[in-house]
Amino acid sequence: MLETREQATGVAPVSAPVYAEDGLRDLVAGQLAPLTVRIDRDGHYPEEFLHQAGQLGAFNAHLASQNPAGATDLVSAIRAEEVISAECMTTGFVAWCQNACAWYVENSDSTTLKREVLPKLANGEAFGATALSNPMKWFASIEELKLSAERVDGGYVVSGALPWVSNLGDDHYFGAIFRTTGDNPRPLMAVINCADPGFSLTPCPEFIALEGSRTFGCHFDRVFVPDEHVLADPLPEYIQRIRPGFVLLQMGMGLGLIEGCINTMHEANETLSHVNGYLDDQAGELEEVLEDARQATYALARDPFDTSDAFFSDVLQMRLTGSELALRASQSALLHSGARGYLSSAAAQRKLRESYFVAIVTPAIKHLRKELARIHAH
Amino acid sequence: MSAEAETEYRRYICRVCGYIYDEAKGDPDSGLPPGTRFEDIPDDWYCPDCNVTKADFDRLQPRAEDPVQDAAAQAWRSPLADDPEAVVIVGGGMAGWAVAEELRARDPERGIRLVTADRGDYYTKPRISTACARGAEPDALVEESGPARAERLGIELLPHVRLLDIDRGRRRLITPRGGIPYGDLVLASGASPRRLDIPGNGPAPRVVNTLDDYRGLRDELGVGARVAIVGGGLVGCELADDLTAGGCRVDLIELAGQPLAGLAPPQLGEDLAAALAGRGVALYTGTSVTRLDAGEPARPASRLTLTTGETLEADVVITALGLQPNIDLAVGAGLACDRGIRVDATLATSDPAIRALGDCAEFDGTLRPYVGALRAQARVIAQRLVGEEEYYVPDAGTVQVKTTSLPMQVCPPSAGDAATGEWVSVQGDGAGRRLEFHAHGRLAGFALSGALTRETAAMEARLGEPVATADTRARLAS
Repeated sequence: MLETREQATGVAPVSAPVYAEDGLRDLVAGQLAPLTVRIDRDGHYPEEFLHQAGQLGAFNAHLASQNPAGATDLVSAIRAEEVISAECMTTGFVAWCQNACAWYVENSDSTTLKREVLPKLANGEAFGATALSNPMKWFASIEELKLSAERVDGGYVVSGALPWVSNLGDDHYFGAIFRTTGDNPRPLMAVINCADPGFSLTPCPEFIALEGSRTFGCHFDRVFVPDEHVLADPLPEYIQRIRPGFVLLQMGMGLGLIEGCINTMHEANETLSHVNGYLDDQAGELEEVLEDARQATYALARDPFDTSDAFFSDVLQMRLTGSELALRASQSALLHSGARGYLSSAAAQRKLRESYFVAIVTPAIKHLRKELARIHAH
Repeated sequence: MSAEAETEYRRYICRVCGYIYDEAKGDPDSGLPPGTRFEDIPDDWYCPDCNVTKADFDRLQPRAEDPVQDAAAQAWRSPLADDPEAVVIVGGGMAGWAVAEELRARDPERGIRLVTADRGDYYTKPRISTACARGAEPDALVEESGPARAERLGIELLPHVRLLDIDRGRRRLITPRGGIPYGDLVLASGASPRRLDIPGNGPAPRVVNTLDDYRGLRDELGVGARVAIVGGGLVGCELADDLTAGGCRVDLIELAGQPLAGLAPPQLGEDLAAALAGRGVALYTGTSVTRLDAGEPARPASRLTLTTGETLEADVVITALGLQPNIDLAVGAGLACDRGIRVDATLATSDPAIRALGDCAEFDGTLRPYVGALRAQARVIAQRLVGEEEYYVPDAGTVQVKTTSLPMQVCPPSAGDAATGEWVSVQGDGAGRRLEFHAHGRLAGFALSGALTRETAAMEARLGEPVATADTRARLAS
């Protein structure tokens, strides 16, 4: 028989929120809000904010081994990302990167990483990232795997390049998947540190938003990965276990962004409600669909270790719905704000650019629909 | 520049980031003027978007110009438009579709949406029980595709969408595809097979309750497959009978002393046991499975251990242990539930905006998981939704047992009568029999088998009539 969930993951019923959401709200208002425009356009990385948010417990709610409740509380982890994303989605995206990297370690077989890396990721002392865009597209038959590895004594040496990975820095960690060559070729996943010999970061061309997310090209020139840093072998069962949580955690970005858009609409209505009533999507309507999406997301997030295809279909549909609603909400926020929303410092136009990121970051809308069609094909 | 020269230029794509180097355009920012051949690019040139070298470029092989536009690419397109007045039906089984059909027949205008976790294809579930005997492939059981039926009825079908919650305060269904507002809600969420947690390391047993389940089963069954069915109730007996007709070797395991013990009188249970044995089913009664282990290499996939100590091998194990109404969401939403979702004679639940029918519903303390009941209930719901004052009156509740080796019609007595009356054998032998259930001097139930099943309607008409108890007993004694 299969292991029970308790044995496999350390999941336990949630009794109370494992961190203080009010404290995070105050931190966002006091420390993050003044930096939002610089983060978006000038590439300022909100390092100090992230350290402090980590201290408050914003990045450990989904890590049963790391939070005081000893529970896998994915809902609180998503809520924290929402609070951040409502103000600055670049930072919300970085928070997701952090949460995803820790999620990989938490659910892995690597006692070394759990001992040496996970506590630092959980409290925001160290930063983590996820280089899974390419492998996720590989799973969906969209791209080939871009990293390969050969077996050496005590580990693997990995070579190849990934175009752009976010939340990286001199001593940041990230999860990557590579294909082994030689006997028994198979995909493996491991945690890499940016300081590992042979690994280098190169700057990216400028993007239209999220410049403060520390996004770089990753070059692997025979990077040694010790066996202790391999997350799972064989990989498929592990991927099945982590993928619903990985995707559900992304919902914090979209849900927070929609809330931010609704806030922007209310602000605009203080002076423009006499004309904004002619627009398609009113704040009240978006509040209703946001409430729907939150209820559905939290319902799914209560049991993230369901490995069935039916559940993963629900999760992908949720993510798709989040993207569609984010586009709808940001468009309406800009239309509500009018010309003032078009100023380069305005929140409305930033949220418009952020919403397109929700819709294109892996899994993108087209990728989600392709996967859903595959799952439901007979 | 001539068209001829232009066509000679080639394009190369960066494998890492997708940047395209076009020889015609060059890369002037990096000092490569238009017309620079890929071969002539120096080795210290870097991809302008991701900094890899020439070695990471391939000749571009463009894909077909038009995007894929098949049904799969269309299926997940549009998000739902709001229709707060719509009648929303949850469940794409016979009950859900019956409500859609009955309501559309009475109201050509009202928005009707049917939300279902499967494809929404229409099939008559009881026909699964006799598919092998009729030589029908699973796909042939689909009588009309979901989209075709939805179009014909003028309703909106939302396939592959599972309900996560009902927000009664806001009258919205919570789903992963967003909230769905409803004016009236109809729950036709059906029932799920009861599952048994059997110790051992064998593959999880199958259940057969939907066409998707059945498709999976038939895909797995090879020629002459060995099938073990745990549970000799209605579904277990029907499957045993039909899979044997389809060439499988079936072991049927039943805890009671005979098949159909909870439903049919003992005499018919014995007749059915004989009929199944005659067809080749190996019957193990009075026992159950204590372990389910993986089979040895090169042997069938599963090995079952019975309480008797016997072991059986099977390629496929099926459990058929009865159905449980799907009430979790209704309970979560605070609707009054007992074994099923409680409904009154208008089929309304404890929330007047929500109705329920079919396998998930409980009326008057009784579950009625059969086709006759759901059809009558669908009619009443449709009538109520157009404002007619109609009440649901249950039929006799006769259960059709579709074992082709010995078909039966059983109308069990009510719980009250069952305690005070008795089965009386009136006519026939193992090939066809009539039994009556007499309680308080009246006909309170009946069971027919074989050729005598054609008397069902006549017997139903006699229910409640006085019976000559003494005469019947005399006949039994003779």
